[in-house]
Amino acid sequence: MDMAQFDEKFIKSLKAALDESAESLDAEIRLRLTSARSAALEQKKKHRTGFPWLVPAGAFASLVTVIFVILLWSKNDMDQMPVMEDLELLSSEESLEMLEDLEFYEWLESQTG
Amino acid sequence: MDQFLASVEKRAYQMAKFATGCPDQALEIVQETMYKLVEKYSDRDREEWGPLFHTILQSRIKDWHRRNSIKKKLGLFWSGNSDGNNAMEDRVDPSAFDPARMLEGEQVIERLETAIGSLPLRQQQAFLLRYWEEYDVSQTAMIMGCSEGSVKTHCSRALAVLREKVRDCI
Repeated sequence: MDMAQFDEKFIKSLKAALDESAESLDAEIRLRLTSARSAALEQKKKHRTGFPWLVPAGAFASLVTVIFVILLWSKNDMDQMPVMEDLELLSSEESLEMLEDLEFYEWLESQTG
Repeated sequence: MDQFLASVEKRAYQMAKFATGCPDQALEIVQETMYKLVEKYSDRDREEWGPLFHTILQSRIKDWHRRNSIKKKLGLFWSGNSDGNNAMEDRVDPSAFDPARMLEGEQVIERLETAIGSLPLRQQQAFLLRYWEEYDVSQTAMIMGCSEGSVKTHCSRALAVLREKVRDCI
């Protein structure tokens, strides 16, 4: 028998012995391996089944929040516009002059009325 | 995935035990490997699971060895942990290689396990992946992250050592 043939046979025997060693593991080790496998698979299941609707729901909630904030902001802008106008009126010199001559305008109205 | 893991877990445990010499460490390594495979690669094709599983396993074993050698260098071994973390060379029982001893059944397995455990890590990995898991040279090289030439060298050296140590009982 040459070296290559010997090695082939030798490797086959080694493999058979190793297979036997793996198959003859004691009950405790087998049980712990089974538990480890179950835990690994369970962890993935939890990831998958753990409220998968939360992703689109979260996205929808974010979108609604953004729209609400934009609307609120625009509304504030619109509400602020009359205030600005009032300020402009009050700050204009013309209006103040008119207020000062208010008695004159009352007298004028009584004459014409 | 369950079937696949069930089909590889015992051999994976044995591989990790050869490398670490400690059942608890071996179980931990196998568990981490299973977790990572399931978490990251369960959606891959079934044919890819084997090489991926062994790549993760060998990587975990290498990490364990790296950490262990650093600990050893720093002298952080404590006596309660020493039986599990000793280098394989320290665990080899010279009497187990007495050629005059007739060994059968469990003794053969025990002697083979000790001989494989005594191999340097890379030789051990190459030998087990190539001849036990029956990956070809290129797959073994890919799993181990080395060249095909290195795989051939590791396998040839491992085989030479095992021929010396266990040929009389196999």
